[in-house]
Amino acid sequence: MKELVIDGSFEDINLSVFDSKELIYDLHLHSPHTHSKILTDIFDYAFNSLSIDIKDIEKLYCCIGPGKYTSLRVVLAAIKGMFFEKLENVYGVNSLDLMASEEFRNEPFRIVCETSKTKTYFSDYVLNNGFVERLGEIGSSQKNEAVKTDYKIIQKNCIGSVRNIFRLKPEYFKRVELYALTPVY
Amino acid sequence: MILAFDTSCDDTSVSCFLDKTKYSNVISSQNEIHKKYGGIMPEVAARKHIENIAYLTKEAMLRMDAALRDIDEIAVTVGPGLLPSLLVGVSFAKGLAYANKIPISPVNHIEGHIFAPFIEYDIRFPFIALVISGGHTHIFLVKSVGEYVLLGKTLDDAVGEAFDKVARLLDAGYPGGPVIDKLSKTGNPYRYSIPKGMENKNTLNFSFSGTKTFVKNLVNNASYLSISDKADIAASFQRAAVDILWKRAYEACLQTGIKRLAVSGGVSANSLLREEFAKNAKEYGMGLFIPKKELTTDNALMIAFAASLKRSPTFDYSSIEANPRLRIY
Ligand SMILES: Nc1ncnc2c1ncn2[C@@H]1O[C@H](COP(=O)(O)OP(=O)(O)OP(=O)(O)O)[C@@H](O)[C@H]1O
Ligand SMILES: [Mg+2]
Repeated sequence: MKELVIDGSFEDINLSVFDSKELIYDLHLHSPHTHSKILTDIFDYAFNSLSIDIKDIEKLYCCIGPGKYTSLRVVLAAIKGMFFEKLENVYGVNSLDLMASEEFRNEPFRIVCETSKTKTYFSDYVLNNGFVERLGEIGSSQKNEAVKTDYKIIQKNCIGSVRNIFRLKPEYFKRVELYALTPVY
Repeated sequence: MILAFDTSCDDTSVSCFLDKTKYSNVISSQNEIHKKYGGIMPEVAARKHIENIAYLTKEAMLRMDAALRDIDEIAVTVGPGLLPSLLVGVSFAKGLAYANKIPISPVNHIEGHIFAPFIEYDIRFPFIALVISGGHTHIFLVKSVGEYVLLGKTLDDAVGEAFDKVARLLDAGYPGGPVIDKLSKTGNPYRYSIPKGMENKNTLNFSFSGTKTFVKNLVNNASYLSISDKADIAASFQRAAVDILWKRAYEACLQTGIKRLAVSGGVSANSLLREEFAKNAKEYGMGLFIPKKELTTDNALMIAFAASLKRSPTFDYSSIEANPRLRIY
């Protein structure tokens, strides 16, 4: 079963494809072009490299933010168009969770992500039975509040890779109707 | 069949177009949402587009009993308009086109407006096009599809913008155009003589900033405005706007010797304008083409129709980009 993970919530684009939970394709693109210009080309490149068709994708995981407004809307609009009447199995994933999935440390840590001048998101995580687990709710506040913690602080302004997505607890993937996909800002 | 999208401003619209008699045209207006801000909030508009677009696409296809395999071409407005809004339609259209191997036509929103009247009539070139909307007050000589000569335009505010501002000054409601239209029906259009920007100048250009300032001063200098005072101001403003629009459009026809005038864009929904233009056109023996009211403001049907005339779809998806300042001249 092929599963696709896509993230374009910040300036870069991450795309991974799994076959029966095994990573078979992984791309991180940092490009001077807008998401709107290159997104179809990226999908085309990935599908061609794998010799698969869009119809072969059975499950889609899409980063729904928080992140940059325009980037998120472009990616979600493109996804809705691409998978329109093609796919039922769609899951929304939070960008802070994806950022946490990139961390390999045993002690608890806090992800801090400043998405705008007035808004900083944060969330605490710990490794538990091999899964990255949240220690509370994802919160947002002013930056100076967000960094008040005893945990190790990891500040991020973009997602480096989505290849570790299945280190997250499965309950963090929210099943959504494709038509209803909307960004979390 | 052409599947078309327009998300240039605040309305989300999707159309399935087979020919001039068989089509669907679904429009989701955001007026109620932007009412509370008294104007369009671009970020809010873009968010509504992304929430609505897939549902509206489904609805537009259902109304035509169409499946994706019936779609031969996708058309999308690429500009001009608000960038965050345009990007939603463009990204959705590109994703859909790519996944289903359908070619895509980029359409200029103003070309959509220009040809909107001809969804009901046969086109004969050349003609004079008066595009009057929230962002445009332009007169073009249209030689053929794709060949436009700009004859005149507003040097400051668009006429639709002036309607919106006057409505705001009178605290009459939102959106301004329809509100002024309605209020005017009970007003005296001759009570105030409102300046008709550059009325006596030999030009095909427009100016509405003086008109707006005049109304502003009128409102500011009055200690109290009754409903009937407001109606008189609205009616006087509306008459001034319609007069100058006709004067310039007629002058453009005279100068070019072309007797076919197409009027489109949201302001062409105005009831006084429709009456006056029809009367004048008859008197001067001119052909007048104005779209049905629901096709005067933004809609995807006019985008599909323009694409059907252009016949230039491409599979080069990355060449399709939103451009908020796109021009046709
Ligand atoms: N009955 C009416 N009388 C006068 N003006 C009207 C009427 N109905 C709508 N309008 C005006 O039409 C404008 C909206 O038209 P439209 O949707 O074509 O413009 P837009 O898409 O915002 O701008 P553009 O097409 O230039 O990008 C608004 O300014 C509105 O006030
Ligand atoms: Mg318009």
